[in-house]
Amino acid sequence: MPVVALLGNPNTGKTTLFNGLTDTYSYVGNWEGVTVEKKVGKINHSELLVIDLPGIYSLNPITKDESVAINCLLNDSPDIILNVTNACQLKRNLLLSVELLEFGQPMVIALNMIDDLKRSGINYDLDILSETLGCRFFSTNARNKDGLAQLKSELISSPIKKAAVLHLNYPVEISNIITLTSMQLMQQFNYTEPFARWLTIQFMNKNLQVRQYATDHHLHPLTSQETIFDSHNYESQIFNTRLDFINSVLDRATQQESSKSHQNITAKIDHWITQPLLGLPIFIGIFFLMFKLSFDWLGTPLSDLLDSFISGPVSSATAALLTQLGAIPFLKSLIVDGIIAGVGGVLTFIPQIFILFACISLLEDSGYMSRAALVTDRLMQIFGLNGKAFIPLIIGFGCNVTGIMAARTIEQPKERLITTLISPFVSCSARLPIYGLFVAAFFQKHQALVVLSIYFIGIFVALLMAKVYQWLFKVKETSVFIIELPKYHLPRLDIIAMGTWDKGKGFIKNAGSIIFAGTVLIWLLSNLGPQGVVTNINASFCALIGQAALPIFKLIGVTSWATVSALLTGIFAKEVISSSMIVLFHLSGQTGLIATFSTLFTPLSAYCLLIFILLYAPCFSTLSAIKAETGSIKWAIYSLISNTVLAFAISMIIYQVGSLFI
Amino acid sequence: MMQLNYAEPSHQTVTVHQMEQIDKPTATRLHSLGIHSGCELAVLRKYPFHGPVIVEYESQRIGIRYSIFLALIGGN
Repeated sequence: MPVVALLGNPNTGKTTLFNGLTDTYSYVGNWEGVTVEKKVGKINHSELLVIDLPGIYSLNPITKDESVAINCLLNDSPDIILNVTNACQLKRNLLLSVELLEFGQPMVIALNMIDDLKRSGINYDLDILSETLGCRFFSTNARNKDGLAQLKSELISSPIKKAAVLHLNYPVEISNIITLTSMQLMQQFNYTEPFARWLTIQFMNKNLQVRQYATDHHLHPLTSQETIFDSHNYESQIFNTRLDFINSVLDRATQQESSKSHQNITAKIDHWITQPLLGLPIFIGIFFLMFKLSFDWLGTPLSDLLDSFISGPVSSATAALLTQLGAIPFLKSLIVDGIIAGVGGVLTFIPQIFILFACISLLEDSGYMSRAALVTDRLMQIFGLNGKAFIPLIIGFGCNVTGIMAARTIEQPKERLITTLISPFVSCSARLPIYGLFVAAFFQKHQALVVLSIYFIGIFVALLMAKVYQWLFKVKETSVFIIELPKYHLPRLDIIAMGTWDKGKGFIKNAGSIIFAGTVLIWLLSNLGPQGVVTNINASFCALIGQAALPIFKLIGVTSWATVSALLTGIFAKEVISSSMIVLFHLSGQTGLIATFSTLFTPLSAYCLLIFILLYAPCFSTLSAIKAETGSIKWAIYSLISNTVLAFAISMIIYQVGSLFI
Repeated sequence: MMQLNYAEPSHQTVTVHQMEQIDKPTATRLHSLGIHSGCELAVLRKYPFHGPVIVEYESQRIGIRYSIFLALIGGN
């Protein structure tokens, strides 16, 4: 099956274009060589596969994210490259296009966001661009699906033909080296001419990935000249040649239409949003609104409605049906008290979680996220991180696994490691159900505020630990921080819906798999004991395990073994904690649980327990993400132990000190 | 007094003098954005306490750290 790879600068609308081209919902493929996920989709009514790759500025990777894209080029060799460019910033987008054209694979360039360009009164002659660069150009506006049909039919209908390789007029000295070295590579390693030339140019240009490739493949014609190349500063000569070429192309292709005076909306919004003094308060305000919406105004009423439906009609109808069918009491109890109560109890949080995800998607789509990174940068500097580390932390509110993956955009390896290690302290959506239960029981009046405080404690501990790690790892290098501020977009409903679904589908999938399994397991453990089926839960396996660990947990105010057992199950997935509690306390749903809580906890011990749940051992998925991203199981084991110890220490201090006053 | 009405302000422009004193990854990234010695940047914002600086170059807005900004325009 022919493969089309989407490559281009960040913020050029690749993913929107990808979703527009592939009508079938994309699946995530795990590709050989790298344990990294790329989005793969298929163009409807065709055999073409499309891969969506992370945005890259050049073929010389600085971040791990960029290495993924370049690895795909080097190892998977796609049949067609679809280079997505931002038409408004064509000059610098073409710097990448030139590198890709030198690679010699068939290529199509999409001038995306063409509407923004038109608004600025500029137009490009696509024929001149096609002719000078030797590849087809299409103008698109992926957000409105303009131009996608033509692009699609070009990709489907045109046979894949050899591309005209772009040859730039590099200075004579460089030209000679390229010719000579690529000849040697062709003779000794059977490379094609375009690939040999491309390797040489990239090697001279200090492309780290290509240098690694040359070392791995023992490309002596290149490696033997490394020191000579580096002493000549070829890099800047190559850059200047490319820039001059692009300038001359654009001079020919640019058609200045009437210089319309357009209202610059982005400048107007940024006037307030990035205001030096107001920027940070606005940032906090936006997040406060987000939480109010999810946990007070909209999310909680909807969740309550869903809860009364599941624990009421659904539960009683199933019970009646099972009785009618003559199911044995053990099975009936497993389904009604175990699965419906437990899994259903977690599902009632769908409204709150999806509203939170919709808000995050809205911020991502509008272009606010990079402003958030900017206004928080100075603050993050205090903790030795940069503003970009803030984005993975915010994404971690959804799920720590995606948060950890988002840390790939951070340039310095040590900073990336630190961001990965502190990510689990960020309160993910899976922890929400249990907060929801406790705030409903103990903090009726200040629900949003209490939940927000937990989230802030999470962020605070994360930043504090970042500082500790800076000191432990003896980080000296200053961090790289360059962030583009894209134009604001009017958010589009379908894009937000898709983003929300992308983030939230994991939660629903978990409900069907790991939460289901965890709930059944805990139900079995609580109904079976050393003597077989038990009627008194106090004689069950669960009670035995919980009671053994209870003395330690008394230090943080936990007095019931059932709570301890529920906490242990949280390592499967955090959502399981609340479903386990419902099962262990033998209740039909949230309402019963809330009433039981008031006899087991005080507001202080409840709050301490929430802090413990916030900070203790990451779930299995997060642990495996830590292992994958750091490339070592040691960091995963370290996180498991250190986070639990830290959680214990902090909640114990709060409980013990708090007990003196309350 | 803070101005409540928005008016397109005129911004200070600076010239990039050198990129040699900047660390390698940062210089590479700036190059990829098309920024090179001799180009003119409009300075849109400077954050307090030596926070980031927003510059505009060929209708793209970029946030960079204060130290990099100083190095670009020729200071240390």
